[in-house]
Amino acid sequence: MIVLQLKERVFLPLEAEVISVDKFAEAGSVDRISKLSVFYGRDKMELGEFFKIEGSIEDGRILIEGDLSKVKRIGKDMSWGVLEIHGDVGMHLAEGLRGGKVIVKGNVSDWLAMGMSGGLIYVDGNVGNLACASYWGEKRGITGGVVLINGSVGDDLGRRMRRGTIVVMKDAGDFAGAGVIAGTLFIMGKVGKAPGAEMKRGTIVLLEEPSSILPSFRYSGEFRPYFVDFYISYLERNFPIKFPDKLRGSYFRRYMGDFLQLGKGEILVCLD
Amino acid sequence: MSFKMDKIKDTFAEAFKMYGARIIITAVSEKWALESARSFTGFATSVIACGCEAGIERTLSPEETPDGRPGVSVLIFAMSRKGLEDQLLRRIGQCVLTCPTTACFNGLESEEVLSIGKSIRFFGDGYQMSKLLDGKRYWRIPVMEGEFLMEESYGVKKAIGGGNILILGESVDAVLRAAEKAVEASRKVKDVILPFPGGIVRSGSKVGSKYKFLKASTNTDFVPQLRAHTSGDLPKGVKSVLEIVFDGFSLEAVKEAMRLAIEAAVEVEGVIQISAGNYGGNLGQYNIYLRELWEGS
Repeated sequence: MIVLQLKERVFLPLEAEVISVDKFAEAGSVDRISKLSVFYGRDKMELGEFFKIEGSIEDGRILIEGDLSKVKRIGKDMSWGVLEIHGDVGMHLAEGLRGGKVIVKGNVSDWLAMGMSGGLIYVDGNVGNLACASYWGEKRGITGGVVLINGSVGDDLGRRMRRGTIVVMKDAGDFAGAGVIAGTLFIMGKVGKAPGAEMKRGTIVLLEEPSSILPSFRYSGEFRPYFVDFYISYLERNFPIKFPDKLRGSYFRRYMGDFLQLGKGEILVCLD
Repeated sequence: MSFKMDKIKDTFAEAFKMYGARIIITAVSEKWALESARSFTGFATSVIACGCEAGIERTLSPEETPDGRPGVSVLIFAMSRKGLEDQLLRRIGQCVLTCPTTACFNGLESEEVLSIGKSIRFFGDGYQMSKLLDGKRYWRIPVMEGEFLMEESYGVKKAIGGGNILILGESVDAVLRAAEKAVEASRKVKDVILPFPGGIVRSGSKVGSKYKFLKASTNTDFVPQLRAHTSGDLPKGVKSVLEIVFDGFSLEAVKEAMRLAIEAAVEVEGVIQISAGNYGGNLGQYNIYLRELWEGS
C-alpha cells in the first residue's frame, strides 16, 4: 500500500487527477510518483510538494489522509485497485471511474462520480450536489457501477444516469433521479422536490413518501417487487451497508412516469 | 471398504456425454420453492421420452440464495445445447414463472450461456423491465401476483449422464430397502442428481426392441421372470432388480455418488449382487468400472 499524508492544509484548489492506482502504477516508484504534476491554482507543481508519500503501489492500494476538501479530481479514470481516503474530499472525486474501489471516510463535495462507468464508490459521510450526474450539456450521467452513500446527498443526484446502482442511506435533495434513462436509486431518507422529473426508464426506491409527486407521474397500484429483496441481499452481502428491515418483503406504491418523456420509469414508495 | 468385493460384479456402467445447467429457484417459503422445483423436474426422468433429465440437487437456506429467500437448486441435463435450451424455456416458463412468489437465478458459472430470459421476458407484453447488476441482466416480468424476477442467462456445460448401478436381491422389499439407502447416501454428493422417481428405476431398459418403432424396451437380461428366454446371467435367488441412475457435472462426482450408493446398498440383508447397465461399451463415451470405484481411496 502507498500512503499519502497531506503536509498542510491547502487553500486553493489542488487539481490532483494523478492520484489514481493507474497513474501511480504507471509511475512505479515513490520517487517518480512524487514528481507527478498537479495544478495548485494555476501553478504547475509536483505531488510530493503537498503530500508525504511512503510505501509501494504493488498491491494496487492507495491510502490518503488529511483534509482534502480543496483537492479535486482524485481517482479520475481509475480502472482497478483500491483508493481509500480518510478525510473530507473535494469536487469531482472518482470522475470517469471504470473499475476498482474508492472508499471515503469523510464528506465528499459536488460532482462525485461524474461519468463513472464501473467499479464501486463507498462514502461513509455526506455528499454534495450533482453526485453521479451528467455534466452540463452531456446526455448521460453514470453508465455503470455501484455508489453507496452512508449519509445524505445534495440536489440532482443521478441526473440522467444511464445504468448503475446508487444507494443513499439518508436524505437526498431536489431533483433526485431527474432525467434518469435507466438504473436504480435507493433513497432511505427524505427526498426533496420533483424526484424522477423527466425520467424515461429506471427505478427510484423510496423508504418514505415524498412530499410531492409530479403531476406527470401516474399512480400505478401497490405490489410486492421481489427485485428489491434481491438488490438488498446483493448489496448487503457485498458491501458494508445495512438496509432498514422494513424494506425486505415489503409492499410498495408504484408511480409510473415521467409521462412527459417515455413514462416507463417508476418511483416505488415503501408501505408500512 | 468393509464389505466383500465379490458381491460387486466385475462390470461397468456405460455413461454418456450430456449438457447440464443448474437453476436456483427461490420463493417466499421453502414450500413454494419446492413446489416449483418439483413441477420443473416433473416428467424429466429420461431423455428417451422426456427431452431431458432433471432433479432437485438440494434445498438452499436464505443465506445461500441470491435474493435471501429460501430456495432449491435444480439440475437439468439434455443431449444437446439446443435440447437443453428448449427444455429450460419450457420448464422455467411453465413451472417457475407460473408458481406463486418464485424467482429464478442461474446457479452455474460458465463461459457458455443460454439466454432464456430474453425469450421469457416477452410474457410481460412490453411492460417487463430489465435490471443490470454486477454485469448480469435480470428481468422483472409483471404478473397478476406481483412480479416474476429471473436472471437472463444460464450457464451450461458438458456433463455426464447415465451413470448407474443395479441392485439385485432376493425380494422386492430387500432391493427397495437397499435402493433407498443408496439414494440417501448418494444425494450427499454435490453436482449430481438422480432423475427417476425417488431416485430409483424399476424398469431399466435396453436399446431397441423386437418392435421396430420402439427405441428402448425392458432390460430382459435383468428381468427375473424371463430367465427362460435370456442369457441366464442373473445370479441364483434373484427375484427383483432395481436401478439407480446418476447424472452429474463431472465424471468424478458421478463416480463418487455411485461409490456411496454401492457402499450403502451392498450390505443390506437380501442383496445378492450389485451390477451395472451397459451396452457393450459401444454407445456411451464413459465406461465406469464398478470395482475401480475404490481405487485410490
